[in-house]
Amino acid sequence: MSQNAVRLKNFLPYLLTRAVFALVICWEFGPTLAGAAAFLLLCGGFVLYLKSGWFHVDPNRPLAPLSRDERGQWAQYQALLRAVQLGLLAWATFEFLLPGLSLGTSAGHAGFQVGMLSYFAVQFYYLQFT
Amino acid sequence: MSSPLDISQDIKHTLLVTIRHDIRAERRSRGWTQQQLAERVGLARQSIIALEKGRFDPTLETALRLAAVFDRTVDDLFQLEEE
Repeated sequence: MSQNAVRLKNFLPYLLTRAVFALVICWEFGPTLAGAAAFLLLCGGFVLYLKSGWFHVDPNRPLAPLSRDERGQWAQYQALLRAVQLGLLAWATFEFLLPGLSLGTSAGHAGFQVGMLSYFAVQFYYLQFT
Repeated sequence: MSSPLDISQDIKHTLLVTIRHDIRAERRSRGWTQQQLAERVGLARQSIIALEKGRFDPTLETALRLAAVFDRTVDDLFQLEEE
């Protein structure tokens, strides 16, 4: 195993508490395939955050070992900015320019989803490629 | 007295300056991994990678931390380089 990698066994309290958190979130789905998929997706996300190297990892804080350094805070700020801009743009587009488009949801909800997606995509781009 | 043209030349001159360092060589000379250096200075591992590749200029606080963990001065670690 690479010395650069974070060893998961050193972060069991973090992993167990996040697994419980994911279970609570996915409880809404009930014992369905979608529920299991959402649970695995959330757990995978928590493991990815720990091993990605995007956050400062402090082994002395086993329950909350992840924190953003200055570059992470900058990436988060940029992501928030772009999410608000793109979310508002999507909302305005669906509300005023393409009101006849059948989205299956409201323009506000679609704008919110675009904003959320933009937040994670932009943050991923800045943390991984800049 | 400087003319406006001189001032604009000064600004242009200032903008064409980059920060030069060799953090990678310092780290390797101590046998540390990027993860170990990241834990020592309180940065993420990807930030160390970006720093070593010259894609990320650290704040003064981080520069001081890096100097402290390498037992060097900031002047030893970082130099301004005109392009």
